[in-house]
Amino acid sequence: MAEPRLIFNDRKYHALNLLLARCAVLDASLRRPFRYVTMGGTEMGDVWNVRWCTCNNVSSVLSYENERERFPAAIQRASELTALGCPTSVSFGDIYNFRRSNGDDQQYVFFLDFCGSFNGTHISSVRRWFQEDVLRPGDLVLVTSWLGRHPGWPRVLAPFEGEFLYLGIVTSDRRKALYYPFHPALVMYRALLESGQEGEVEISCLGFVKYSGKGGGPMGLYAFQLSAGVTDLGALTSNLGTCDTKTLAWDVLSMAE
Amino acid sequence: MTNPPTSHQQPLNWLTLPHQKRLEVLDDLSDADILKSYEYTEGNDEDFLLHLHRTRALFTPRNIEFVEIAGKAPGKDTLLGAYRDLERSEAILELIDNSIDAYFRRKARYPNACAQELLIFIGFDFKNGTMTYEDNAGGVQEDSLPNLVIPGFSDTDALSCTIGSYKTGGKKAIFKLANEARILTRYWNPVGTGEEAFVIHLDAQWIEDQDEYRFPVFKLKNKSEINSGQTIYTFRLKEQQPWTPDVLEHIKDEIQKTYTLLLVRNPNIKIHFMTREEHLSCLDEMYKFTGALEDQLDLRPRRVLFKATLPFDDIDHEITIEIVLGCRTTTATTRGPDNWGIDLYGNDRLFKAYDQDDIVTWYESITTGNARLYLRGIINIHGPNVFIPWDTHKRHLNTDREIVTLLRKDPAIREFFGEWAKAYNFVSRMKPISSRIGRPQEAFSTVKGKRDLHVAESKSVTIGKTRRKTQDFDLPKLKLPDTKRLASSDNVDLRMRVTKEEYRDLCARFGVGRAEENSTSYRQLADAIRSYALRKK
Repeated sequence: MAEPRLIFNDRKYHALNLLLARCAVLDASLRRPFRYVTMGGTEMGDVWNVRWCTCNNVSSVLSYENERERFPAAIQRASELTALGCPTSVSFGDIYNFRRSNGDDQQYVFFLDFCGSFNGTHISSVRRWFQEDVLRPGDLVLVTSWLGRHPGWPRVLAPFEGEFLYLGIVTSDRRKALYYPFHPALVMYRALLESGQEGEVEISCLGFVKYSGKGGGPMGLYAFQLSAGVTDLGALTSNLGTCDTKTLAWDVLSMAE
Repeated sequence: MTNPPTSHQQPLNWLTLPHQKRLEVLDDLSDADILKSYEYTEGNDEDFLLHLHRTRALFTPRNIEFVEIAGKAPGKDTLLGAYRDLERSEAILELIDNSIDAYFRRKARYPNACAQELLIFIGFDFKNGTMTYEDNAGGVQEDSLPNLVIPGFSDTDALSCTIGSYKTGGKKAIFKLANEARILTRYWNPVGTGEEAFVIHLDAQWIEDQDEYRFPVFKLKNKSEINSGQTIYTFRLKEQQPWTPDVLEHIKDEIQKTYTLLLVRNPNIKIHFMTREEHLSCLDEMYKFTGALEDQLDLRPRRVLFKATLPFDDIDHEITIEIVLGCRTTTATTRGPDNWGIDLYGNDRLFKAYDQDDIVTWYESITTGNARLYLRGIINIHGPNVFIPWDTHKRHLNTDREIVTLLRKDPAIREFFGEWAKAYNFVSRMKPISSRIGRPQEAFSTVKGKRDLHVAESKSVTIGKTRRKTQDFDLPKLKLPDTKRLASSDNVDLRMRVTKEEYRDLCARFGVGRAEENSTSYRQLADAIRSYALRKK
């Protein structure tokens, strides 16, 4: 049975604000009106933060909720936000069900706020988003990913064998060390490659923030900018700005040596 | 000595200079002088400098000494056009086939002057657009150098027990992959010293010229660039073919799949892909047979070596058809390397994986329906290359070959398949049995110091015209329980509803591919959860 209300701690929104601040410098998309698609839960705390950080450039919000027990509370929250001048609606189901309507050329910011790992099992869903033109140049994609216990390194690393080979990362120790900072980028890249659009859409990773999630487990928050161009795997996985809100350390990482 | 054009002369076009002339200029002049004296029509000075740098790196003009222009007229066999429908992975497999053949040939001829291990390395430098292929199979003698390059020339003959594409394989690989190529080789002389290292240069003009087969051969001045017994190919890769991670992954998969059995049986052969630190491992998952063995049930895999003779040029030659058949642990399909069907091999080299279309139609006893999804096995033909029923690219089964008639018609082979067809039908019909075959056995084991496919029993049977008519087939027998003792169908359907996010999480946990939203993936996940839950401790 799902919790009736889904409440996250301040650490998550601290991480979100850090990443949004970085995106505001590196990416122009937050400085223009955009539509926001999220998994806002019952409180939609991220909506508040995104509105504040982007000086209310959010033209509308669509939140997906897939737990029946939480749906009424989500609807209630959406009404409150709408009354405060932020048109918000809630849809029941999986966020990957989202599709643009005909003629919708608006810029979007997507927040794929999963509690689990944004791993190889997401490739097919993101691929469909590329293929069906949900994701377009000009969009921004924010992703959370669980960085804790997983079903074993062989299964976790297997979907990205080609990427590791291409970048010359052959030892399992090195692959494990690079997996947590870079796995969402590998998911996005593989999804783009399978959609056949790697020559039309350029993906850039704007940053990675590590924070403590609900229950204290390690979580990662990542931002991906989409623009018109060519995605080069080497460029996508180099010079990634990373910071850890627990240790207050920050770094710039690259996969290939 | 090269004299650059004088100042009142028009600079010469670098790209129209013959290859050998370019090498002389590179040897004599610095890049700065070349820039002053020659024109580069495909870019600016920076592009020209980069081109010069790359040419020096590939052809090492300061470390070679011209010997001769070699090359004989091509043989009647022609490969014009044959390389165009070759996949890049297949081109690399052709090179590996040649290395393995050369190694076995050398080992047979000079067992004391042969590397303990055959080491093959394949690497890419995408920044410079090159691929390197190396082996230590023994190197190539000067008078055999045309065999590396000219179609129709070979060190082997049609009756050799080899795996390489006769007279064409390595050459197809060069044409498929490279705009330019350098082949460096140093023959390990088993009877003396004085080994020379030779270099073959195949520049872009040579590769594009359909009629030019003569090629320059150079002696390497500084032999330390290559070890004795080594051959090194360096290709400047064709730019029209992008190299992406999925292509590399596919190549690695193909190498592992194609050579798993050969590598298991010959652990002294090691193939390195993209790294010199680790060699490629064998794919245990390809042969996930049930190890079901109980009082009344024995479905472990069996092997039969069918010995026969086939004629070639009016002379009979011996061949052995090795057939291994077993039962899979599930009827789920597309679980990575664990799939149903028959793998076809020639001399331990896979050429067609998971055949589900041809072979199953040869034996009426293997019916359509779910039962055939338990079928798994290999047909491995040991003998002269000329008898192995593969096509030009070793990709398909050539059903017109005489050996295929033998496979289809021979009563002993048909009986062996029939025995297993009964088992598959039985398992498919009897749910209490299908729930007991879920535990796989180990794919490979070591028996008497030799590593091989793990089978419960192995027998040898003579077939064809050499078989005595009164001889019974002594084939391995399976054990299946008495059906009357089994309970009638008492299945229970369990259902479970999950959200899409939970579905993705479960797929990750149970290793079910990409969490596609289709009935095949749902069934795979259900099978995986069931196997996990029913596993005995």
